[in-house]
Amino acid sequence: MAKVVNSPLSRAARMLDLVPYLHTHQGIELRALAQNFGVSESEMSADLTNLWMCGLPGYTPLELIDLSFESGYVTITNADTLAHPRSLNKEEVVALLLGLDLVKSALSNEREDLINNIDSLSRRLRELIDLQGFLSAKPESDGSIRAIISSAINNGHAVEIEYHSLYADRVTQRVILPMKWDQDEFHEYVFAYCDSAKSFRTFRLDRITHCSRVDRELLPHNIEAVDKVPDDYVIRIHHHLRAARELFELSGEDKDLYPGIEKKISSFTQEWISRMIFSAATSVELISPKNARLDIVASAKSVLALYGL
Amino acid sequence: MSRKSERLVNLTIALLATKRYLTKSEIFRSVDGYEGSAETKERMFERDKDDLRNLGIEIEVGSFDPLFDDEPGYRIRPESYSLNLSDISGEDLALLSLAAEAWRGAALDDAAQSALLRLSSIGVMADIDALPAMTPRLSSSHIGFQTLSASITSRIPVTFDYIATELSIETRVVDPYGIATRNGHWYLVGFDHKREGIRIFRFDRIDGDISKYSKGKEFNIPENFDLDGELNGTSLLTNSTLDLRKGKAHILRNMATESADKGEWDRVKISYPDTERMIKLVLWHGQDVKVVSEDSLRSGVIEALKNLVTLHG
Repeated sequence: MAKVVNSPLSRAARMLDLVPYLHTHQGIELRALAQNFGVSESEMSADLTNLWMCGLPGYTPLELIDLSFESGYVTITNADTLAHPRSLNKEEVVALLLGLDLVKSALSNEREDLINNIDSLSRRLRELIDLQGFLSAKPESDGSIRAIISSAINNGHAVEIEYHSLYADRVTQRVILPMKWDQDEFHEYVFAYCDSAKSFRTFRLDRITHCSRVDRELLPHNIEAVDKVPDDYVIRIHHHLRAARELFELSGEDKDLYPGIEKKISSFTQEWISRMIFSAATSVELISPKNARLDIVASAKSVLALYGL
Repeated sequence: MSRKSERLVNLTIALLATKRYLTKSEIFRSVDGYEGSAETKERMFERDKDDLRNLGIEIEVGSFDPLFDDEPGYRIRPESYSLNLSDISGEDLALLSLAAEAWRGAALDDAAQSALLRLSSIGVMADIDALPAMTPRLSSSHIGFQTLSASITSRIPVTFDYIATELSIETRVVDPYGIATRNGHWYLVGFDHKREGIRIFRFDRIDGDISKYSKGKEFNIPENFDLDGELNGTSLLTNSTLDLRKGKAHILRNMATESADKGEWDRVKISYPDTERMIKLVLWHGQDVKVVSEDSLRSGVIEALKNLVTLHG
């Protein structure tokens, strides 16, 4: 549930939203109500008590909102003025529009009915705030693959995936037991036991190209001890500092990077380093180890040979 | 603390229920919670009006008789207060739930959830079964996102510090035309005042806060603006033919519009907006890709390879 800040303003906003919600959810359990509004039961009781003191000017029992919640179930009467839900603010509309565009992109073209519904909803939401600006969201990964993996994590069953390993540029089929989601600033990952590798692995979600449920039990077994340590490499950054920082995921302050700086980086595979140096297109030089540096020369020459050079 | 929230709710009810404008003195007399000296009540009321406006509630100011200089009055029109999205079906609500759920843990999570709570007060049950099983997700933890979403709705220019290619910091002033997300990154597309043209900015390259540009004037977005077109660079695509080694270069295969079997290799055609980036992508694939055409891509790759040999030789 959304994080709740209990300022008087946020509490007032919650009280205003409680009235129409209760109107359409008469008799809701106090616990469920608190959960749906993302607050504790005692906070919800306090909100309801405060709301009980509110009403039309005059504030006699005839004008006050009438609430009943002692039994643990909440009902409301005499609150017709606030019975309609409040309109949405600009930020809320932007959030829904971006979310709807994402859902639309994730739907298959066969669901024209749902796509038309989304277009209609988006048009009406834009009108609510007279929005002129454009919003567009494309999913990083296939929404149905994510759903299958989420279900596997929740229910403890295995899935078969087709995975594109970027550094090896290889697509493999694997049976994995997904255990939890991980994420960094940009991407989402699945931490799983991989039956093919007999080890725990992390898979980037957008590189899983196919996924289906496997109906056999899979338990982690014969786990191979991972005692491999990454190798160290030294690179020199000549220019395109921003690209180098992003490509090699260099930490530290921007001011600590300057043309000509040498940085130590680690990698489990030389193939990865080699691809990075190639794609940096001479803005980054591999300094050591020497054999890896010579491999760069040999690889570049063999690619040039493809062109007859 | 509870007194203030009660007063705000009571003020909203009073201004919503009234058919005519209520003057301040009527409000102070009839709405529960306004106490103290005249000055105190005045200050309370001004703050309360600002607070309600911050919640998106429109308070209308008017007078009983426009011909006379009457004391101004206040009211909230029920039609501006209430959510009006016409008919919402169970399927619509399910789609909106999925849209809100996509923000879980990301920048606009609170806004999405509070919107959903209000939509679910309409009295319609979300028909989740009508949708295919899917859980798309948005990622963003960038500060400044709220400011930007506010700016895009109010048509006010924004200013921010942007990290340039050599990590120098440049202050930009931009009319935000659109916000988009692709491949886990968020982008702002808008008119850059200094460069006098449309530019694309990646959110994670914005250094510090995004703020409204105080000297900025309200702007209008050109009618022919195409957000997806700007992001995909579809107006200026270059076409090339590449040979890809069998079973390799999967990223390039996914971009291919045509593919023909040539034994050890497959010959594919691809289109792309940015030759510099394409050179890097071809280089990434080393011995598994050969550029057949077009010339600037082919010569760019060959030149970079020769420089790699010189640099490391």
